[in-house]
Amino acid sequence: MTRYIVRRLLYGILILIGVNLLTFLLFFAVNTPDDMARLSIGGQRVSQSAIERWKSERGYDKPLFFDAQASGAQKWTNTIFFTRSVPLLHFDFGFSDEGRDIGNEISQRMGPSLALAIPTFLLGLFVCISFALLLVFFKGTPLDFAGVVICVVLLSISGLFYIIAGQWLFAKILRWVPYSGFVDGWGSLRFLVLPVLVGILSGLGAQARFYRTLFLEEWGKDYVRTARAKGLSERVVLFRHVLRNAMLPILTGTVSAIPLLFMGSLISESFFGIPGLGSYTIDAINAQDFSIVRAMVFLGSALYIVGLILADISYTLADPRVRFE
Amino acid sequence: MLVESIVNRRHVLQRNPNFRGQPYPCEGEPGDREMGLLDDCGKLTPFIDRIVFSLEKESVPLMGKFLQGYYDVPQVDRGDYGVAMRVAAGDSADKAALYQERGLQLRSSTEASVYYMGFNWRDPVVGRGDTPEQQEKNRKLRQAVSIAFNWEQFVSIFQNDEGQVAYGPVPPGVLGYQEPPAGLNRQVYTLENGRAVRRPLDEAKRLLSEAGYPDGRSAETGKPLILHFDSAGGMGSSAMLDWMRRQLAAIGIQLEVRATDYNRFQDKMRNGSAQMYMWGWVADYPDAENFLFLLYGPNAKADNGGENASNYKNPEYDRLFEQMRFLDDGPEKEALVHKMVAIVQADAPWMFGYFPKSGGAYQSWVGNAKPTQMVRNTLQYYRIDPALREQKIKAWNAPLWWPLWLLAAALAAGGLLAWRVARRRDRASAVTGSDLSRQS
Repeated sequence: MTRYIVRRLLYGILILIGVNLLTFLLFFAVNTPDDMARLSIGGQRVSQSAIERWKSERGYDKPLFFDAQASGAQKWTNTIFFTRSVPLLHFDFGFSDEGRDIGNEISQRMGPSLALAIPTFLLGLFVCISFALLLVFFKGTPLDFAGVVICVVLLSISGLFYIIAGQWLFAKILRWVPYSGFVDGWGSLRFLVLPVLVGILSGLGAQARFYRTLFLEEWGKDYVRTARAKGLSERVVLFRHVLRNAMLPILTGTVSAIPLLFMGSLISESFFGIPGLGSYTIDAINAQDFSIVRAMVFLGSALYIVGLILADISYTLADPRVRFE
Repeated sequence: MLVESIVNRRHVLQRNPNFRGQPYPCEGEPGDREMGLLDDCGKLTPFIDRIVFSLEKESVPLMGKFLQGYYDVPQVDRGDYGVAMRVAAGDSADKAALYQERGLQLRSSTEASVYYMGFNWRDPVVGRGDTPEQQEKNRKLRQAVSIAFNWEQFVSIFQNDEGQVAYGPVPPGVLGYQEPPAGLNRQVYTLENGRAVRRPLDEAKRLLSEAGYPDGRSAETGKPLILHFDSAGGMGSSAMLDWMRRQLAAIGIQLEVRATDYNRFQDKMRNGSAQMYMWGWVADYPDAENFLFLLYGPNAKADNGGENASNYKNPEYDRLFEQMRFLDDGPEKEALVHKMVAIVQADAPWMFGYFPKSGGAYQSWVGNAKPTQMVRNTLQYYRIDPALREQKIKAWNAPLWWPLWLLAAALAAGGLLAWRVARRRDRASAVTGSDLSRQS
């Protein structure tokens, strides 16, 4: 298994280099360093000398990929792409275009992101699995039909609607929770109730439908019939046999998603005023801060690769028959 | 002084105990005294000990929290929310009633800024022109277009009436601005019963014909006249661009929109390759010089990288500008400004567009508040009544708990129903009655 993991990690490095190259190309195709300077300096009278100074201070005065005037290896190393990409490989994110330490910002903002993401993830998983089990338990009854209809309705609605409707209902009309905000420590609980609820509800329809399908697939298998024939109650059959055997595909989805929890939620964090990595990314995109966007895309890709490797490993733990050899 | 600063989240200002204090103004604009804005005349500012700026990224929570009383002012740096609330109150009786019930103060004032539509002076069709004949023809074309573009309608539709149509480049409140009839742009308007009335489209068509484009077609080639609008955003299909096309279509001119992002738009302006464009200027200081320099020849953007985006050049205008620029406010300067405005009204390098209004929304417990984008140090003048604020927040935000009990009852009923279904199924026999009869 070690050989497999090492191989996957090496593939991961190649993928990260590719992602970095693609991000670089896409960003600079629409946004030249001059454009970035103009936007950053702002004001009404941006002079060319101010633009040149801004670029020089941030290392954007170099050629993008190839420096024809340099000699030897410097033709490739004295470029924006090289100087900005190599440090990323050892997770040195450098400084934003505003001059702030990106690594420090990420570490500061990871906490608020996790404060929202972890409860949403864990409670969401619990609620979705429970709801799907209930639907399976009542399979063929009007309750199952009503549940499926509810799932389809829920998954047909945009996530943004849940946020706006949630704020309207719970913050404006009922006034149970605040619209948005965040404070450090346990005091933020009252601010997190609504985004967590919205997060769970917006994912419930799709996930519950998916889990229901998984459970139903197990439901028709021989071992379930055998368990019933032994006289076990439906509850025991469902929780002890069906749930355990359906865990493998559930594990795949959930374990691979765990590392991405660190990245936060782009929309929720902005709407609920949570100063996490999602809102950090949105702010960077709005400000056309390439350094932050590139760092966040790189971090997201790295975490995704880690998530997939973890999911692979989790197979062997959940099902001893799975081997990597 | 700044005691806390978290980027994109919160900034806190606190009274500096060593500050000498500044006296509150005793003079203001007309109407300020009647509104009680000069009652604190001479008292030392600031009146507030601590100001907390919270950065809300989305408008829904911002407005929600403002209406709940958690913010005294929804926006400090701009007046968009004040304008939006004034518009909402005008559109909806419910909202107007809500704002009134909350005692919100919704104020507006015309800003020292201008949004205009410019013609590129270097362009052979709408620009200056090479020969005196061509210059006159081009001027008539610009005048015809200026008549056809109904800025009153533009302000009404796209600015929700929160703007004032401009007759020249100098906005109200700045020395040199003249109210109609004196300040009327007579190239585009006539005066009827003391009111400015846009010249009729027939006159625009006549001017167009004299410019060499009868019925919107070139008198020489017969080809339709197509003008290009270099848009700084969108993909060329917005309602505003459609509206613009219709304005020119009314006199037979086709408008083609060349839409790019703002960066590319800036490139075009630097290169002087745009034909018609829309841009704006927010004054750095309330002086006519800061608007008239936008048309000063040596400031041409394409030649010298200045802010004269139309690249307009008129030696007489430039001479007057050089006389005016260093004069102190007074009759001499005012007269020069009037002359310069008259020149650009006649030359029409711009359609003067409109002066936007700034709106302010303030809670009832906020005093001395007045919207402005020009004066940026108004926070020191604000007064807050914290007792009233606390009382109102408490009154407005009492939770409504009864739906929670309703929800609990619904869940209990659902649970009971589920339990009954489960029990019935557990008790059901594996073989049904019909199966038994079939076996017998």
